[in-house]
Amino acid sequence: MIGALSARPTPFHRIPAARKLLGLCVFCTILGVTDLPVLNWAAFGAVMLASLIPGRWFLSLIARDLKMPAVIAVFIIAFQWATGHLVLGLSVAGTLMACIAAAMVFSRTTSPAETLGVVDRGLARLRVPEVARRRLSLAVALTLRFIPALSARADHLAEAYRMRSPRRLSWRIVPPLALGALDEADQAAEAMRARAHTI
Amino acid sequence: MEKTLARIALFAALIAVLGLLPKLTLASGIPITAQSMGIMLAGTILGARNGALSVLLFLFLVALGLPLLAGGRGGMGVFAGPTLGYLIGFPLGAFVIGLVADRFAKPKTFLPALTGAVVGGIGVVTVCGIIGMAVMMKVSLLTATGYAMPFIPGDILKAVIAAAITAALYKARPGFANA
Repeated sequence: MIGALSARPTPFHRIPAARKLLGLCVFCTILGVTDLPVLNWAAFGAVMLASLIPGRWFLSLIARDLKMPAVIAVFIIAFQWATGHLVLGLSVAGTLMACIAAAMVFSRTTSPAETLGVVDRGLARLRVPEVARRRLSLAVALTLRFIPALSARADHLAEAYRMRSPRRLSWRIVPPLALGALDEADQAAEAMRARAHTI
Repeated sequence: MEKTLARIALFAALIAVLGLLPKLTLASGIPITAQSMGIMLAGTILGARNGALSVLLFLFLVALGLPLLAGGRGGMGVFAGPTLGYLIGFPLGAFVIGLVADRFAKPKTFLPALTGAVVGGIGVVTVCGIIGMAVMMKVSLLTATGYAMPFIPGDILKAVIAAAITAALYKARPGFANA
């Protein structure tokens, strides 16, 4: 299964996805209205400390996810410092790092299927008709089926392009890829209809 | 309905796969990926409603934790970052692309697709991205605009390619627009 989910179990895996999602929303909302850099960075520190609970391997997993956000955070601090708003820069960067770290803990410990289940139950509570929820589930399943198929097709096209052209691989493979995608979609729709999988 | 759903799902997959293609680096050193071209293609090929739905489906999968954004990013974390505005702008942009292209008599040809891609894929997405950066990074709109500008040449290139692809697809499969 493609995804950010850590295959190695952690105590966070056992927490129900709905509770984790609610916790994440509350955490990010509180941080969003907090302007004190000490609090923002303390929240970030707390998330990183919590990431230590499963072990150092999990902390390094989260730290790896934070590489790019860290670059952005440094940029924000530097920019706000240069314009005379260092405290604001520290606060914004701390909020970003804490929220992204918490969100990555959620994604690393919750399977897409669990999250989809939470969304489905939430939509049911909002009285969204079952047929609409079924369409969403089917669309997700179809997309997950199509990604590896299209990826393999893109690889084959790239290979063929490299064999025939001395030039660097370019976006010339996109038209045949898109054309193949359209054909694949039509075939999938026909197959669904043939199996009486109507929606 | 099956065909529509399959196409929406397939374009969500196409947007994901385009993020895996090697990135191109402009003379200015700014890297551009094909993923936002997938957003443009969704709008020009599927039209306003279905194009926006395919982009929403793609973002939903990203939120579920799948590393489908260019660079293998995914999960809730990307919605907490400064690029949030761009992510919000993607489905809006795809919708506007289809809407603008549909104003023309033959929406799946080069000029309508290019007009749609420039207005929706560049205009709407960039405006949303600028507002998002200004809010998330707490900088002025002018400063955020400065951050977004280096990506415009790459976006123009992508709009031209997306329009050319749409026209080529229409020539190869004239019936796809009516499905």
